[in-house]
Amino acid sequence: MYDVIVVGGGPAGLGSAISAKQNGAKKVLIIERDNVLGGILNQCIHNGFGLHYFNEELCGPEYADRFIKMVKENDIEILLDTMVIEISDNKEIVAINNQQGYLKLAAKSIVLAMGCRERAAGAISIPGNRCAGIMSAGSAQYFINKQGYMVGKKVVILGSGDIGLIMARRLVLEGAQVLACVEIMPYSNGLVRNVVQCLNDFDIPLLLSHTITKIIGKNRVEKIIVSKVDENRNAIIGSEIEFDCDTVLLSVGLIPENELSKKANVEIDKRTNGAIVYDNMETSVSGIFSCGNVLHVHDLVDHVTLESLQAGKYAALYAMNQIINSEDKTINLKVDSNIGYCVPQKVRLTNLNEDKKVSFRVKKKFDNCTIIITNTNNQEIKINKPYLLPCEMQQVMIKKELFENCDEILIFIKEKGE
Amino acid sequence: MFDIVIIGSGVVGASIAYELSKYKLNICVVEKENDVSLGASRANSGIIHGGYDCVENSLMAKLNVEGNILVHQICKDLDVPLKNIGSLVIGKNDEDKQVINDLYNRGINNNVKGIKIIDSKQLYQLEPNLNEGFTCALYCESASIISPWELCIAQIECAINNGCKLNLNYEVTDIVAHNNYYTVSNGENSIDTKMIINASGAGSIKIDELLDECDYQCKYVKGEYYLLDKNQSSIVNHVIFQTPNKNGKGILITPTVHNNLLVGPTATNTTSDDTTVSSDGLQVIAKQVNNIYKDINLRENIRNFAGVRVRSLKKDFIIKESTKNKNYFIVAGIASPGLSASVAIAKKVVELVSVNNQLQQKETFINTRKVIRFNELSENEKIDLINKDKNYGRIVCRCENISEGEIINALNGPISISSIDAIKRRCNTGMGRCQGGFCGVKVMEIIAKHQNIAIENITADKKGSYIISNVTKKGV
Repeated sequence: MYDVIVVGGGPAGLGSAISAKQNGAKKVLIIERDNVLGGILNQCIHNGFGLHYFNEELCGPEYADRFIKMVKENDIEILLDTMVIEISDNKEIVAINNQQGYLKLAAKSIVLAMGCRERAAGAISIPGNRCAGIMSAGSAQYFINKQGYMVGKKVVILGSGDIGLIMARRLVLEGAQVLACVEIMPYSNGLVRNVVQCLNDFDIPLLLSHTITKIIGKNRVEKIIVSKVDENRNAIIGSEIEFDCDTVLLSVGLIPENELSKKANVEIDKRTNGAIVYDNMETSVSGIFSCGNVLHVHDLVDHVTLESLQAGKYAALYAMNQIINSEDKTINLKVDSNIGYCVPQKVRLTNLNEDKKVSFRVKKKFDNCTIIITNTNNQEIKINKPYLLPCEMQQVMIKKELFENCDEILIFIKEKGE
Repeated sequence: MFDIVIIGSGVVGASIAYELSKYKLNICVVEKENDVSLGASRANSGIIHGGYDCVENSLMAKLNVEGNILVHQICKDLDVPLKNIGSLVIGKNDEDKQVINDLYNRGINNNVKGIKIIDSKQLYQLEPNLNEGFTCALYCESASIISPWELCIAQIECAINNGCKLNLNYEVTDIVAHNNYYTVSNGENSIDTKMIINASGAGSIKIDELLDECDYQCKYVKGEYYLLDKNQSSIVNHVIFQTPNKNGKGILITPTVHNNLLVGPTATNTTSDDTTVSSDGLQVIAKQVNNIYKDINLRENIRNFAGVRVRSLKKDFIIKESTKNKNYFIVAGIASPGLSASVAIAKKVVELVSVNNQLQQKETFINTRKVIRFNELSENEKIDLINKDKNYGRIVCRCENISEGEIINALNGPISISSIDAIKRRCNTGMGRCQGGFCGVKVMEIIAKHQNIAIENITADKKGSYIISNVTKKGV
């Protein structure tokens, strides 16, 4: 019997395993489906990782390596090349690999850290041919950075998610032409620094309020049509631009991968596609915790790490019988219609002994605005912001006192002059 | 010299090859693409229809009803996924009711078994998630869903195991008729054969023209689809048809044997090779689907695709020996319900061939095929299998839980394949919600290693659908 089993050996899994061990769990296991730890960081050879957590700038594999070393130092067990195929709500795990075969493992607590996947072409239904040369930016990143293969010579990127922006620069450095980055929204979905460093510095046009309306190509992409869209995101007839290209990379969003969570009957938040969690990162299933991109999609790995430390800590405390959740008074955290979601969604008062960090994302762009967090007793926290963007996750610390003696917390955005 | 060359390895060519390989004949199937089943056979609704829809006394009606019965045994023998879930034609008003009555009567005349008209109470028991307001339905117990490409692959594999040859990447560009045999050529290699069966689907007229044949005309109708995530499949239990009206049949909604939900097809006239998806087509589907099931969410789409069905203007199948060229057989205009009828079409072709040719059955015919589908096994079976072969312990496709062992089995199969989609058709890798985003590259690595070819030469699908364009600078 393990104290804590962590499913996934990416940044969230590594962080939570280390934290679990350091907070008293004795037997901790990480199960990873790939043959190395580190997850997606291994193919992120660009820099920009670690600025918040280590106060220095690292590339993806370096960032992962620091945690992998800590995992090894902390005597944490690892199963690589191993796929978890079942998790039950009584915390039994079925995993298989080609060494030990079929494994049945039990844990006192489980941390779900499976990460996310990229939205595929099907999800956006682009008219035209179904030819080769259409792939996700992450797949292209794997081919180029891990395998040493180029995926095309003339490329258009659809969507302005961070991976797409990073790949625009990467492709140019490897000798490809990146003709444009096309974004259906009137603002970029990637971090400002990535737009500047990956597009602007390489003279790659960012076409906002545009989308691909047709892909043409018998067996491989030969040409695409890009159209401007109106405020309802419908293509404007007459605005078509033709691009001769052989490749379309998609960077149109990430989706937490919660198929296993669902098997364990973990309740899912439709807004995040991740679990609904309490302030200690525990899901609706007692003893099953969730963190990182499987919980909600983050912009920065540093934030994933910080969240995973919480999940690991509380998973350890649960395993060591130091959390008693019965007869909890629970407060719901609510957001108004301008905010997409918040995590955690619920706070339990019984064991609340610290301030709580809440993450959320706005649905549209705001300038000069105020984030207001209020409870049912009319106590408020106000934070002024020069701007808020959907592509930048916000995190606010909410003082412990604000939760006490109230029934509900509401987070909303007040625009200047409102 | 071959006895028979079959041109085309769609489900019709495959069924004919399977049926004829039971006889002492030297058979060669030629296919222009790099795998079998790459035309209409892989892009259709995947339904074995009951047969009530076909015009009375037509060849279509006869072969649909026969095929519906025959296909079960073939799927059992050759391990092809088929589920007998039944179909419903759902109606709202008196007009619909009249059409449903007519369909019922036609079904009785066509000898369709297990059809009945049901009332709204029975309908909602069968389909509790159906929108309100439907009052009656034609229930057809014998309708099934099938994996069309697996029916095709299985029959070709079985034919090969019984001595049939398959030439992939062989596009017939010339046929010369001699006194009592033919020479078929792709411009490079020629094949002599006593008989030819033209089963080339949307390409049939082009082949016929090589022999100055063709006394029929066809039109090409494109059908576009949405294939939805598995999380949508529990909404619908049966194959759901709308009642046909003056605007046509409308779209159908059906679960697939792979537990997805399929919505479509549209019907627009097009050319023989137009498989593009259009925004108009997708809108047609989007407008109808929630009028039937409000819970179906098209945002759960994992793939859109289009297939071309070829209809003869005579509105029936054409299955005949040429009047000009003896021993040249034409199987054309195999529109819907062509998949349902395919195995009966093959029997009909055998009959035609045997008129002038003494056919002798083989003493031994290997009529089995077994596919290991790891995901469907019990716990003990999984344990045994991994103990026997460690490759089953390595999961490659995480959405569908497909193991490396299954991919290696597909590569070891009788048909030589080297594309990602060929693996997908055989073991469902990349069929899931990530559509191969994660496993595509792993599948490529396994193909490259196993077939000993460079990863750059692996295609996504047909010839020319390359994935790798060149190598990186390797840090130089």
